[in-house]
Amino acid sequence: MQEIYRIEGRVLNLLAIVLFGCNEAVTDGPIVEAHRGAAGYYPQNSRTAMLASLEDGWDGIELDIVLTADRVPVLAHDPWVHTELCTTASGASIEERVRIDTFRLEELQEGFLCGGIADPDFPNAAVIAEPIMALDELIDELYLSQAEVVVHLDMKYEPGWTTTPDDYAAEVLWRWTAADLPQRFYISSPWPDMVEAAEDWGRRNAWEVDTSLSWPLVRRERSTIGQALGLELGATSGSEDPVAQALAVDADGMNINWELASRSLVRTARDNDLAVQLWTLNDPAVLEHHAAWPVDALITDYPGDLP
Amino acid sequence: MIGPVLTALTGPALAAPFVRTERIDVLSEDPGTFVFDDLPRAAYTPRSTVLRWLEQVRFVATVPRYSLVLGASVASQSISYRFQVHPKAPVYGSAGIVTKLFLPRGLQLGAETWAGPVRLGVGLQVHSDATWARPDYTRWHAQPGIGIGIGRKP
Repeated sequence: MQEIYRIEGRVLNLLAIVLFGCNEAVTDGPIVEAHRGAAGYYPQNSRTAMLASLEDGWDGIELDIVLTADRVPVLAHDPWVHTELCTTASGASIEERVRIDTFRLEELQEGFLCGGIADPDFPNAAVIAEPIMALDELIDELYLSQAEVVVHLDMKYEPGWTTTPDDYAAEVLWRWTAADLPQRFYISSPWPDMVEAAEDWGRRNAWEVDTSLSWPLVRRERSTIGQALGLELGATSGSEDPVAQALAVDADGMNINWELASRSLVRTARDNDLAVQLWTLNDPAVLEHHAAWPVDALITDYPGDLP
Repeated sequence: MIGPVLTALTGPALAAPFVRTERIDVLSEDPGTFVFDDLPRAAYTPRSTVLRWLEQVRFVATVPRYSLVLGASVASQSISYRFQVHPKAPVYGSAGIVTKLFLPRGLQLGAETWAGPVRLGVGLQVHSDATWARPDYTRWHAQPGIGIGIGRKP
């Protein structure tokens, strides 16, 4: 009789695994990161957004980093001054792309104002014109606030547009480590050589640098839809293996586009001890749905809208 | 005496084509993730849900001589041995190997029945997440699946 109970127990365990997916890693629930400092509410990557995000107490802040000509990290999404959201200091519109790495920090901050034009992607966001913020300024604010926040630095290194990944790693990481901030941080990039450079810098300087390989890598010069289709088919068929790519560069995590994500990809990443962040989920229902996935962070422009 | 026996044994096999197309599975139990993982996201990301559906649509052929069933979709490929559970019941069982881009990654058991040209199947896969780039067989997962196909009854 006892033997029958034992067999029944095993069958029920197997059924539980099959029906409820109990073999998935269980987490305490993901943190919510304010994408570009909560671009749904404030001008993206702006001083206002960063200060407000610290004040609002989000779990995490995601921001983008570009280097100036004097290799100072500043908050910007593209290697050039945003033509639609920025103006010259005198208020004139910027007709052509001007590369950030052609200006020294002082020239950049004196020459341009960003956030003073309504962002068509975020019609309800505040409109405030400000000079581009330097990472050093954010580090000061983080130090002063002592806020418990995870800082996600998205390195906008890009071959052909910016200086080398080693420059990016060195300029960002020495600043961060020298400040000895209490906040946890990690670095992300879709470029494997950028992640590798950050990991190498950490090894050379005996500093544990958390990195995350963003997937997919979408190249500017090619059709976005065509690339997305190819990546989706590749990931499903097995010809593209994002987890293998992350492991190859010794990344600590994966930053995955939520639409291309799948539960099996997330599970495989976690099975391989990779943290998983999903970007960029802006619908409250989408956030709620994916909050039940075994991921570490959800990145959103509207961190206050999670039900 | 031996002639008719040999003819009876080999005749049908020789007469039948070696490989014949059997059906298309519009919902495939291999890999079986569409219903459980992708369909719940349909309202949020319809385009990728449609794409995931297309990726799991499976084309199935058989090798009647050896009772083998070959299935292929973008998401998975498999080869199974199929047998009739009872001569009087239109219920079939199967056991086979599942692959991803033809890399063996697990085993599957299945059962199916037919209602005219419609096939209904259930399956259970035990598989690794191995790929050619990461042939890792250290972790295994169980995945149930439901199948609906249209074609010719075996």
